[in-house]
Amino acid sequence: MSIRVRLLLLIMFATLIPALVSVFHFVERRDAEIAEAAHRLSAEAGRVAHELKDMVRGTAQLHYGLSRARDFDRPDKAACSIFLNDVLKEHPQYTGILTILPDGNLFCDSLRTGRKLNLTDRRYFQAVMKPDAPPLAVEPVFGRLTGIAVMQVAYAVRNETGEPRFVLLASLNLEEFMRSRAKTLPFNGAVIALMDSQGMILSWNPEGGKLPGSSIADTPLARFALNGRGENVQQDITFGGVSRIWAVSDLPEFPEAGLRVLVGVARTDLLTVANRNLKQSLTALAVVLLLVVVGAWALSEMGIRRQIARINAAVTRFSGGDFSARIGQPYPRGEIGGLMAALDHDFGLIQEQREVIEQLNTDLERRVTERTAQLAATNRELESFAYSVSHDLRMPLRHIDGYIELLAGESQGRLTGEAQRYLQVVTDASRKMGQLIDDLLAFSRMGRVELIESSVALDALVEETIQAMAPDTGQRNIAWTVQALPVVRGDPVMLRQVFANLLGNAVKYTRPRDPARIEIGSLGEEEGRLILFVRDNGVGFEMKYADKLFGVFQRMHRADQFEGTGIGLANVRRIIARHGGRTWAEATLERGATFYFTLRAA
Amino acid sequence: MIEEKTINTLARILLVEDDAHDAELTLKALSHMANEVLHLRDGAEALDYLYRRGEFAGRPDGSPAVVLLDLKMPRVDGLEVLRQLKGDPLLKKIPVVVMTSSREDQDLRNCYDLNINAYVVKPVKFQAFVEAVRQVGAFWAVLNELPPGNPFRRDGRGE
Repeated sequence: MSIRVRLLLLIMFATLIPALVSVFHFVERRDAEIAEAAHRLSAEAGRVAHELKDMVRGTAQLHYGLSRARDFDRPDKAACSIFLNDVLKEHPQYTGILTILPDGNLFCDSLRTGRKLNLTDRRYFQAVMKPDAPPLAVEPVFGRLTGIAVMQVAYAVRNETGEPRFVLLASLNLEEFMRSRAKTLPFNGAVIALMDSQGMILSWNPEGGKLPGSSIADTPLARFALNGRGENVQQDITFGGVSRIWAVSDLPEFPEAGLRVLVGVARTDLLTVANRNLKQSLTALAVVLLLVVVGAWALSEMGIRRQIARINAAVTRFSGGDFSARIGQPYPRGEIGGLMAALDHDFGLIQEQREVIEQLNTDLERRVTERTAQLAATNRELESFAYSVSHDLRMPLRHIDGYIELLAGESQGRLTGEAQRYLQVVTDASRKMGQLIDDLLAFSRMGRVELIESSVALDALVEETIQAMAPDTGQRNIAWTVQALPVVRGDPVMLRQVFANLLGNAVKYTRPRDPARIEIGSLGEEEGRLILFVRDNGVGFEMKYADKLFGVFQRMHRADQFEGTGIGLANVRRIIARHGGRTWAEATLERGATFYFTLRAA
Repeated sequence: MIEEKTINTLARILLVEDDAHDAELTLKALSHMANEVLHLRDGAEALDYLYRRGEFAGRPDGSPAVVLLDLKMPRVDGLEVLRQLKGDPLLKKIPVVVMTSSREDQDLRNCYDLNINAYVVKPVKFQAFVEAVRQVGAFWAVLNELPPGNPFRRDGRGE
C-alpha cells in the first residue's frame, strides 16, 4: 500500500470521529429539544386559552357599557341598529352585535338586515333569562348566516326591579381569533384547533378544510383533549394521518362553554432545526473532508509520491551503471529533501571514487604496459649480450688456444720445460674461461627460454639421472635411498637439469665418504607446494654461507679440492623460481648437506 | 679411386670469414686437402664471387663444392648471404655449412629456415676445432655427391 493511500485512509478515519460525535450529540439533544418543545407547546395552548378568556371578559365589559347607552331607551329599531353597526365597526372581532327582547325576538341588529328572528330556543338566551341567573352567558356555535365559529356572549340588561329589559348579544369571531393566534405560534408547521365538549371541531388552523363543524369525538386526539387524566401534553397522537405532539388547555372561567384549545406540532417539524443543523454540520464535515482529502492527495502527490519517484528513478539509473545520475534540484523542504541532498552527495562521492579508481586502473595498465615494454627491452638487451658473449668472447679464446698449439708445434723441442709449463697454464686458463662463458650462457638461457609445463613423474626422472651418472660413479661406493616421489607440474627439460645439478653435487661432495649416502625424498607441503629434498653425508658447509651458495659462480671450495664453476645451484634456484617455488639449504660442516625445493603437484 | 678423387679435388672450398685469425686457423686445418680453398673476407665478397661481379667477374667456371660461412660479418652478414643464395634458383643447390661461435637457438632457427645444409659450432679448443674443420672439409669436398650441372662432378658429366 502506498504512503499516499495510507495517508488518505488516516485522514478519512480522523474525520469519522467528529462525524460520529455530531450524530451522537444530535440524538442526545433531540430528546431534550422534544421535551422542551412539549413544555412550550403546553404554554402556548394556555396562552391562547387565556387570551380567549380575556376576549370574552372584554366582551362582557363592552356589554356593560352598551347597556348604559341611551340609544336602547327608545323603541327605534332602525336607530339602535345604526348605533350597533357603528359599534361593530369599532370592534371587528365580532361578527355581529344585537339586542333580543325578553320575548325572544330580535330587535336591534348591527347587520341592519331588518330580518325577523326569534331566539327563544337559544341556550345562552335561556341561561341569562332565568330569574336570578348571572347576567352573562356564553355558547360556542356556528353562525347561522356566516357558517363560521363564533362565541355567543349574551348579557341580560335588567331594570331596577330586576325585570329583564333586553339581552345584548355579541358574536365573537372565533375563527378570526384562532387564525390570528395561529400566526403567533412559535413553531413551524404547528396546528392550532378549538374543540367543544362534544368533540366538535370549531376551528382548525392552518388549512382546516372541512374539519370545522365536524366531530372527531372518537379519535385519540379528542379523547386526549376531553379527558386527558391531568396530562396536558401527549406525544405521538396520530390525527389526519399525521403524528403530532399535542397540548391542550381549557377555559376554567367559562366551563359551560366546554372549549378546548389544542396546539399540535409534528415531531419532524419540531426537529426541523435540529435536523437541519445536523445536516449542515454533516455537510460541512463532508466538504471539509473532501477538501482535506483533495489537499492531502495533492500534498502527498507533490510532496511524497513525485519526490520518491524521482529518488527511485535516480537510484535505478545509478544502480544500472549511470554514475552521472542525480536526483537534482529542487530539493523539497523537510526529510525527503534532506534525503535527496544526502543521496546526491553520496552519488557524487561514489562517482568521484569511481573516477579515481578508473584513473588508477588506467595508470596501472599504462604502467604495466610500460614495465612490460621495459622488461622486453631488457630481455632483448640480455639476448644481444648473450649473443655477443657467445660469439665475440669465444673467438679470442679459440685464437689463444689455437696459436699456442701452433707455437708448440713450431717450437718442437726448442722450449725449456718451464716455458712449456707456462704455455700449458695459458692453455688451461683459456679453457677455463671458455667453460665459464658456456656456463654463463646456459644460465642466461635458462632465464629466457619458454617454460613448457606438463606432468613430470619424478620417480622416473631421478632414476634416469642416477643412471646417466653411472659411468662417473662406477668405482665408488654410493648408497642411494630414493623414496616414492610425486608427480609434479613443470618443464621436464628444466627439472632434469635441477636433478642433474643436485645429484651431481651430492656425488661430488661425498667423494671423501665410503660409503657415500645420498637420499632423495619429499617432506609434505608448504603453501600448497610439495617440498622435495636431496640429502648427502658429504663435506657440508657452514650455514652462514647457506644463501651465498645459490649465487652465480659462488664456490665453497678450492678448485683443486672440488672441480666446477659454481653455476649449478644458481641454475637450480633460477629454474625452481621460474616454477614459482623456492630453494634453501641446511648443512653441517663435514657432516653433510640437505637441499630443499618446492614444486606444484600435478 | 685415385682418378675420381683427382677429379673431385678440382672443386673449390669457399671460406667466408671476416676474422683473419679464424681464417688462418681454418686454412691450417684444411691445408692437407688437395682442394683449392678460397678465403673471402665478408658477405659482399662472397656474393660478388658467386654472381661473378667486380674483382671476381673473370673467375673460373663452376660452383664451389661447399661454402663455409661465418654469420657475424661486417657489410653483408652470413644470413643475408644465405637469403640471396638460397633464394636464387641456380645457386640454391650449392651446399652451405654455417661455421660460427654462436650456439644460440635464434641463430640455429634462422639458418635452418634458410635451408642451410649443416650448422657447426666452432670449438674453443684448438684440437677439437681442427678436427671439426677437417671432418667438414672431408665430408663436403670429398664424400658428398654434387648435384647435376656441376663441372666438378666425379663422373665427368659436368658442363
